[in-house]
Amino acid sequence: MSTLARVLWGTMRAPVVLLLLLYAATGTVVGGSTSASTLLRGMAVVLPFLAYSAVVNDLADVRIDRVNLPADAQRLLAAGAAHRRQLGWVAAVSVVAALAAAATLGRAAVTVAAAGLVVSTAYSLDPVRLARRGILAPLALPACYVATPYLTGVVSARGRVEAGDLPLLVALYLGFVGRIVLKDFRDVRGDALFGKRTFLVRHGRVWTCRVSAAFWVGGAALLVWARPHATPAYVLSTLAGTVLALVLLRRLATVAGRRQEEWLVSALAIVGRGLLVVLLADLAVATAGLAPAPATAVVAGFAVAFGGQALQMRRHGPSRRATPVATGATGSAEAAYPLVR
Amino acid sequence: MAGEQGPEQQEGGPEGRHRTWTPASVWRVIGITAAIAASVVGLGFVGYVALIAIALNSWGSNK
Repeated sequence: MSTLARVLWGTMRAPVVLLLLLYAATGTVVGGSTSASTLLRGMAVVLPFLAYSAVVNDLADVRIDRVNLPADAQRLLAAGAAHRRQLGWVAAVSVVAALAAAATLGRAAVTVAAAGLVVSTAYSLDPVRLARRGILAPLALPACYVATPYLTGVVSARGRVEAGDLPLLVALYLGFVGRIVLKDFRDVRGDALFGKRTFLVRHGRVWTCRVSAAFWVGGAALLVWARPHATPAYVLSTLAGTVLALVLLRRLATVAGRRQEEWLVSALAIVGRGLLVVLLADLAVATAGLAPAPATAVVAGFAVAFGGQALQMRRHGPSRRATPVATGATGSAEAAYPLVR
Repeated sequence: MAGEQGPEQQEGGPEGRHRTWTPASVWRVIGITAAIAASVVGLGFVGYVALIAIALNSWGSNK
């Protein structure tokens, strides 16, 4: 495989691809379609957008990634397996591919894709570099990772965005902010070492968990409010998922030990995915005009499965380890860790 | 610890190998059943997307 293809493949990080797929799928159902081909047309815009975002972020954070993710085979620049110029080529090709795919969906899709690419650039690169600006980072990132796939999905299905699509977008945005402030727990050592002033580095774990909890609750409340005709199973599942998230956040605020911390954050990620899948199922149930009994069974089935998987992650950790064990250069970063506890 | 929760564990012995169900496999089976049901009742791509999510939930990820 050529280096450019390996760089491109390295940008397709499974959890992030899944996250964007969930938002694109939600937008597609909101737009009135449950067709796989419609979703794939939207993903043809979203995947090169993700490749561009990952590449510019890797270019900006290469020194930090060498500390936080030294064994991550998908960080080719940090691992010394690719050059900056090769990443630049992949970024350029990705921009062209995203805009070309968006053009097949119409002017609205081009506007959404272009706006997403601009915000993504401002997030990672100087002179704006929102990633280094504390609370602004988790507020700006969802503009890329939620709005771009969601609105692309809506446009892919319906051809235009309507005002009624926006409350759900705001709900997804709030929920994403609640989750994304937690991603910095994994990266805190390198962030503290290189002076990247994330919210966690600035304010510590307790306030990070409090802010996360506030956004989880706000997002969940809006998820229910924005869907007045939702099934009772959806409302109960969203409520239960939010309560579970708050319990996990309370534990995260006080836990000692890096492994427990990773497992808790991973469990919270599963709860977040579960809320999205439950929402997706409930939206599709309404679109398909399904009878109450099978609708309830499907929605409740997903809620039970994801809740169980989250608790399993909380107790036993991952069965497939995606986050590498930090070694070598992290010694001084470990010394910086107590600063944020 | 992490190795205890695979889809199923195989044990050897005089009576041959057999599978032991763990909580992890139970949650996965419930999720897969719901995903298949979603496809059967006509919810389009919802079942496929959910299946991908269920498969990735065994990974440790912060996103």
